[in-house]
Amino acid sequence: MGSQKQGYFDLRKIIGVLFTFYGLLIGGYGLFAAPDKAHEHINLNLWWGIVILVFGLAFLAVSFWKPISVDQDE
Amino acid sequence: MNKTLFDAGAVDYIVIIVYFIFVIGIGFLLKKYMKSGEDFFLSGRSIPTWITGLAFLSANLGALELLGMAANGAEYGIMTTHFYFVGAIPAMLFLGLYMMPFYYATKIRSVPEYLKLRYNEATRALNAVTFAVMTILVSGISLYSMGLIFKVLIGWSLTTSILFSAVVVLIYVGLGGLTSSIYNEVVQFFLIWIGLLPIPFLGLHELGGWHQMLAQLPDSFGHLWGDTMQASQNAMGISWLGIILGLGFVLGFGYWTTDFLVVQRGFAAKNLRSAQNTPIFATFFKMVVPLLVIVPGLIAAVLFHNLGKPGGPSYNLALPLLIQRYYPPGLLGLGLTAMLASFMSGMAGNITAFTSIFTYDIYQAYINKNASDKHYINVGRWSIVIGIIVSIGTAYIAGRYSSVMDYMQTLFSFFNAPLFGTFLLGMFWKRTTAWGGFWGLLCGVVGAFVAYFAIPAEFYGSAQASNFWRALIAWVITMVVTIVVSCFTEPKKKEELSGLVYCYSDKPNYKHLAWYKRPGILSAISLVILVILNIWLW
Repeated sequence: MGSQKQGYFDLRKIIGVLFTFYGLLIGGYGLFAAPDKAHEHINLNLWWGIVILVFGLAFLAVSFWKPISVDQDE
Repeated sequence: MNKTLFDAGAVDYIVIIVYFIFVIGIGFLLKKYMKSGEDFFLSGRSIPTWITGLAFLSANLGALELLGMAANGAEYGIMTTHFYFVGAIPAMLFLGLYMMPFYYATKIRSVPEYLKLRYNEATRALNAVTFAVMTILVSGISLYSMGLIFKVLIGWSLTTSILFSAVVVLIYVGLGGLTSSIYNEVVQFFLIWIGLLPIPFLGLHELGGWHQMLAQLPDSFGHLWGDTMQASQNAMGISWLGIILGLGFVLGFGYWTTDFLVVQRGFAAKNLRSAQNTPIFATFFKMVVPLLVIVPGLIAAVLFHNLGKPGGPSYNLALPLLIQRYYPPGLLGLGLTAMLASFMSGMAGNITAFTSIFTYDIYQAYINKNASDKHYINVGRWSIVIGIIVSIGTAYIAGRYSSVMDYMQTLFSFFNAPLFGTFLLGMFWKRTTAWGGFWGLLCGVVGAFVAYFAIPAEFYGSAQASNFWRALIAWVITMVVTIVVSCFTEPKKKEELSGLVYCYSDKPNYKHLAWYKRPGILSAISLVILVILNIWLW
């Protein structure tokens, strides 16, 4: 079945790349442009951007450390 | 509305565009791997549990979940959580423990196929046709909601937004089939959480915490069961009996255990245990979803006093209004992307389910029996196109209902509630006969329609209450007719029922596995947490 081929397509890498990019973009935007909303006076972009970045990097890290195994059953 | 709600800037558009590139890119990447029909429709049965589990949830975490549940939260308060605690989790556990073994072990490709094996060709045809109709109607709801948001947010016309959304879904489902749809659902799951999680925290922070928020709301908004002794005590207009029987038992079980859209995610799992764990695993996430959708509804009910009032914004806008209030440019783009992702996820789920049913249970079964695998993949691709085109039409039907949530539950009461009766008897009562199943299902569906047109809407406490009771009526009709007809017709032979009925099937044994791999133990943990949550929010 397709399981051997499926190994090349690691969803964790895709998720990692997407969120790392979002984290950098939004966090960076918060750092340099620091847009503010009237209701909350914290730099939401910066802080939440960092959370997203960490999330994305965590997915990337796991996908590199533990490559997908194709065990069919235990 | 000619003024747009949001002022999206360049950075927001970058976030949105990158997301669309990713979604479509996944479709292209996966196209290479789609060699056989099995790959295209069932993902080659090779996807890990955590992915199928998240996709199982995400296929349901669509437009209705985000907009509809936030709207219901603002309208009815914390009682909306019953849709999760009573209406979803027990049924998901039941699916994993008792029904998935039948589905998975018989190697069927769709729910109607099980009906063919257990009952007869006629029952399968009836179910395939009603299901195909229902998925297209439901997919119209997602498309309509997506269009509505584009219209309010960006200022496009409803038709432009609907067409744009339809094209995107078409591309990614058409290229990669179910796998693409499942993988995208997982990406969407994380995106929805990351994109919307700050909202409940910012809202609760502004209002001064959970108790401060509840203090500013009507008393019944803060209780799950406390105000349900009588239907008139709460905003939803329903008693505890109606909640348990109508929502919990018939609608909840009917949807989660027989709706091919959700069950299909389990079929793609790599082995039986993984298929069983798919819905069980999903219950843990399901219990947290109210934080993301219902709590914002409550916050919106406090902050926006004219919400749902004449002249004020509709309840459906509870979540978008909060995004507008709290999110600066940048994060705004992410919030919008999360909402778009949820609509596409719901829509794609319906379309992939429609495609499988149409190709296997209508086209292959009745139109062209002996074609090549390749031919069926092509038919599958074309049915995606047709499904999406018809959905554009049904999107306008959905637009005619004032509340899409009520409309959705109405559809479920017509189709899913009777089907649940048919499955229950088929799986657990070996005496049920082929024609008993057929006539029971037919009478149940017809009965639900008759009840819909014959009983005036004012008869019930609310539109939701009418759906709950109608579902129960349809289910009872199915049960009674199936049992009566079964008593007068020839039962199936034991050999024919092997693996299809509970008493003639192998019970999987997981005693040798670690506790965190065993479906039974995971379900028990899930139930305990569920009970604690119910007591906490009593």
